[in-house]
Amino acid sequence: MQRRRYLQKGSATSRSDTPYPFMTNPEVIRSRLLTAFPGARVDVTDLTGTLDHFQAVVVAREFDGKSRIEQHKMVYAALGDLMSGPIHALALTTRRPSDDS
Amino acid sequence: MIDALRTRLESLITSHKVVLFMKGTKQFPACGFSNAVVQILSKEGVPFETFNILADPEVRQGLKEYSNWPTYPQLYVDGKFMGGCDIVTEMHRSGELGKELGAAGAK
Repeated sequence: MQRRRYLQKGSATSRSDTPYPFMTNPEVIRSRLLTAFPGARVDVTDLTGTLDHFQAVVVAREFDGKSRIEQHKMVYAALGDLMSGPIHALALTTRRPSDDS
Repeated sequence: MIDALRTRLESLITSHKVVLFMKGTKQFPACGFSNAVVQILSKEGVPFETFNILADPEVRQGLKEYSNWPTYPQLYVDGKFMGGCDIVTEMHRSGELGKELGAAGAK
């Protein structure tokens, strides 16, 4: 029941969603981040091969003028419910595009 | 959040100059990210207190809401939230963390 309801949500990420609501994968995470930060550079790695410990690098214009804590909070907000369950650990690096030039 | 919990969290955060909320203890970290921050604080050479959030579900959930930060470890210096493992690591490398610790009188 729960599984069907989840799949029917029809979010932009459903095509690459895992069938279980309590798991995720790098494509889902990447897609969520690109939805929140269009045009950003987003790299997501599954660190352990177990779909729960990830590394993410996000380079986004939206981080301009934000402190590092605010930048990370923006990423956590974009990931929403993924942070309270599916993602056990997220090594996170955020940068502004101007930091990379 | 109920006032009693908020009061308790604020009292924990300000109980020492440097407080690390982590998984496990200083001697026995239960998570690599928590361990990394313990190692950094040891290198910075400051006295610090740790709080094992695994042993206290109320604090574990409550502090996430209080700080609006969904993960552990969380480092507080002089009652101010510094960040999680990634930010603290960056600040340690850049020397910012040392400055913050110095400014707080923790060094």
